[in-house]
Amino acid sequence: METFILLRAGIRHKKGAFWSIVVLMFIITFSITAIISVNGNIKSNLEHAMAEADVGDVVAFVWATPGNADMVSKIRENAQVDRLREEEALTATSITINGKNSTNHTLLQRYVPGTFQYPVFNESRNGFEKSPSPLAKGEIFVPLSYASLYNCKVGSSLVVKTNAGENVFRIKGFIQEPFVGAYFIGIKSLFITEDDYSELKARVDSETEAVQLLLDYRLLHIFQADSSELTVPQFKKQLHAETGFLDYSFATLLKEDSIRYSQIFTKIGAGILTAFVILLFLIVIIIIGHSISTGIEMDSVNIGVLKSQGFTKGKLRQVLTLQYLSAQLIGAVMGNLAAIPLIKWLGRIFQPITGMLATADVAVVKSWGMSLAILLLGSLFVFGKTARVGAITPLRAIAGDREPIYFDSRLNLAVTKRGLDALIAFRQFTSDKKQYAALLIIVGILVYFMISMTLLTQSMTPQSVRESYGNFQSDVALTLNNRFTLDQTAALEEEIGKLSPVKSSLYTANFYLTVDGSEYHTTLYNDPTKIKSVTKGRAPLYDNEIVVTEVLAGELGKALGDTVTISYRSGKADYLISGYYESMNDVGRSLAMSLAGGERIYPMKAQEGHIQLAKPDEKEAVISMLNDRFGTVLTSKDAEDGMDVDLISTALDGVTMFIFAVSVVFAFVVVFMVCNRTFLKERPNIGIYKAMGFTSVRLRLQFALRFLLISAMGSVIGILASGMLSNRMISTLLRSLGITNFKASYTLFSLFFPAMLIGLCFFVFAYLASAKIKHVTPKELIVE
Amino acid sequence: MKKPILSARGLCKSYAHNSVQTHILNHVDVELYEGDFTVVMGPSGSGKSTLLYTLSGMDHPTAGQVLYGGENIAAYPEKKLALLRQGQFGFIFQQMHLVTNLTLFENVAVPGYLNKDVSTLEVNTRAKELLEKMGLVELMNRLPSQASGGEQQRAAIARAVISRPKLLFADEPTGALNRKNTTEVLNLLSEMNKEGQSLLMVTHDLRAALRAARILYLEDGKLIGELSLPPYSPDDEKSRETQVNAWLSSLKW
Repeated sequence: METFILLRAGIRHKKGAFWSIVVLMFIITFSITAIISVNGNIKSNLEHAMAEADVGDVVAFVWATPGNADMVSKIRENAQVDRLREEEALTATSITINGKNSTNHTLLQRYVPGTFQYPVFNESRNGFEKSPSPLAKGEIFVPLSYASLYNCKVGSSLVVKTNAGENVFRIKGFIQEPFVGAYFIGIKSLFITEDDYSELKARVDSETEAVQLLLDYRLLHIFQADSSELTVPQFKKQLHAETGFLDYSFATLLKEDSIRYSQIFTKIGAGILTAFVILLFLIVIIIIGHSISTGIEMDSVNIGVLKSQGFTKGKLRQVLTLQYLSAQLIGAVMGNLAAIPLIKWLGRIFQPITGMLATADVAVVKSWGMSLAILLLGSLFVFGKTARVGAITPLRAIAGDREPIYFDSRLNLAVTKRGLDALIAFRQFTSDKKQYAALLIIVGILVYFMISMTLLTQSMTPQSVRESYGNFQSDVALTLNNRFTLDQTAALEEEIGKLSPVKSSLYTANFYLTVDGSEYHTTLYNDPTKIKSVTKGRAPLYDNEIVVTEVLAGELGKALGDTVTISYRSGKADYLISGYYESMNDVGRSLAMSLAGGERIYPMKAQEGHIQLAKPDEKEAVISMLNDRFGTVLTSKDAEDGMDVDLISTALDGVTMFIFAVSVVFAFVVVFMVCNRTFLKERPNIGIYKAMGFTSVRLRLQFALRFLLISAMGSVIGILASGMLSNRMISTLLRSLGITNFKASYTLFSLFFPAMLIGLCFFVFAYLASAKIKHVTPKELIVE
Repeated sequence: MKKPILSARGLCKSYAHNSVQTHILNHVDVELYEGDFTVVMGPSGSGKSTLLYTLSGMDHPTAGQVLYGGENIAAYPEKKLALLRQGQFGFIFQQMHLVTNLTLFENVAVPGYLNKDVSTLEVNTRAKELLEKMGLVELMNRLPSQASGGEQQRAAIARAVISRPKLLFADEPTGALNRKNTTEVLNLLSEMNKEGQSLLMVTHDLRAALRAARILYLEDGKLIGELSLPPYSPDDEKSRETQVNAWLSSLKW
């Protein structure tokens, strides 16, 4: 009973601190529950949908050639293989959706009524059609990510260009296609009727066709045997070694990689937020520590009195621990409950990215387990921190023996008339530095994270993202067909030069090449010196050299100077790793070399051209001229029409906004808490200042100035920490996206905006929190 | 003829607690004169300190007026009261109440800095002069916690007069001091009064009351007695003590 009474009294007496900790814990558990649940939902939905759609462990996209049959039967007979399912597909290389050119590798597949395994989204996209009407001729189902990729809707047109004319389709609905339906996967499957499929199949181009617009493909869904003890990548490698199936494939995709790619964006967002939440927890620990220290100091008389009445140190520590635990517990429960609508909302936000219907299930075990772990850690910390209670003796406390005021003479600026308020504020800080040390660290952490996020969002410009994907900054994008050869570039650029001088040009090709038995995305450049993102070593200057990403080097177990064997179809050659570079292609599992280097194993031709004009205003004229004069070998378009990176920027902006908003809330709670304590401690001084003739407004400004000063000093810590750690932290967070060597470009804005925002918050919140000063009168100084 | 510096008319102060009204001051009329050293005495709970708060503008009366310079300061808003404290009124408290993290010098000088018409040099010079007068020059860079009670109270007096206030209010200024320090503080107050400083002091201490030119006696919120005395001189302290004792006895003190 006595514990309960003391607990209740403690909470009542320190309402401000109690509710502040509730709010801080609320934010932490709210974020954690949402992060864990949203990621969990997406993963389980993907796994479930892939099982429904009967997706293989390894899916190979193979050219439909007569030689396939032998390879297919070898796969079927392989001991590691459980079964193999074949699907027919047509690859369309020129598709326009809602007037926009497709940037994906597009597969057209049959829609078979009755066996169709992909549910169709309803109109509001919050569920599926219960009995969708079957496709009619001329209609097409597209994955949900198309809505964001191409801004299309039901009824929009989709044009498939073939060498025998155009087929126009009407989008009938959006489907949940779990395997390659996600926003960030470069392949997309679209579904048309049997009739349309047969019609298009009759127009398939041969491999010798100069302009291949429609190709015949097979999708091989390969299921690994349960008895196989290999990992899926090992299984794929061994299968290739035994069947050579990669030599027949345009590309392969593992089911586990598909799940990873589909989740990549939510994982990165979650990674950033998890790192932030860990730092927030650190802040909560710091603030709890501060609250306990100052609380014990201010309550020393009460503690002394209670000790004199027979309360033991253990009992008092127990009460204090329970007090903080109950605040944390209330915050955690509220946070977990409030996360439910957030999970739903976040799921809807990520729906266009994953292409999966959002569900709002709470990952009860994981998120509550995490909350419990936080509570346990917090309570252990509180219990440890309350050890100071033991040092208070009844006599010492009741005699009012407090630590004397002390300030470091090295920080002692004389209080003078000029800058009186600022100097008093500085003195108030220096005379109680220990109390403000916690605030300095908190500001440092918040500013550090805010700067890091600003650096990240500033670096994610459309141009930088394109470059990370191996593209080149350009005004005009060229799609080159089989008739184009690199010796035509001189004539091409001469013609362009008549309209605008060519600032620079680059010709590239993209292939999946087999490197030491596993296939990886490869970009081939006519001029590899233009690979901008080489982070170590040098660009592949010779034909037998390649650059690889650090992620791929790790996966291959190779380092700079090592040799790898690369094969494609029947060709094979050894290459030396001359450098590491950075690329977001296939989330960092890619390599690059020269086109000449590629020709050592196969006659690889440039597929794309990137022209940068000295007069970008002439872009339209150049595009029109190229399509007229060189239409037989290429099609040209505005480079800006390419990859849509708005979603990345928008989502990163969203995460940044969230972090900034939470930082502001944290700043508010922390300032409010510390201000309350400071106010109680300094109440007599406030009365004295008022008796001297200081007004409430002036004293409140001094209060606010003190906190501004602290935030400025904390910001310096944050800025220094950013200089030392931001690149490393962001590289770690973005590693799964392929960015392993993030280099921040500091600007005045990225450095000072977060610092100024926190400074402003501290100043304003301290001014608001010090409103109680108005009620202090010098009368309080008079002893009756 | 003495010139009034501050006067109160019909001053009332009451508190309500649990629907019970307690009257602390009950229609008090009082005048303070320029250059006077006035002391308020009375038994505990008589309302002495409340009278000091209301006359000095630290507290608002429930009814009545406090006239200073022809204006009712009881109706002043906070900003005007602050201005009054910056230049017109000075305060000395029983518990000294120096700002704990300012040195003795800074405690004295800071109120002076609030006056825009006085330069920093003037304030600093006067602060040093005052500290010298108080015998604190050697200690002026110390924090209050590093000074004795008497030293602190002398610094508080210096602070109270840094802006040359027209009227100095002192609430039991010797209440927390030992005998030696009490004498030192009272000597300082007498000296300042001799130099023309108007003073209103609330005290229980008979020795402190002997310094006054005028003693007011308060009981149950009403002024029931007034005694005028000749200017203080240490030589006639005995006869003053007899006179004041007799007067207080007549009031059943």
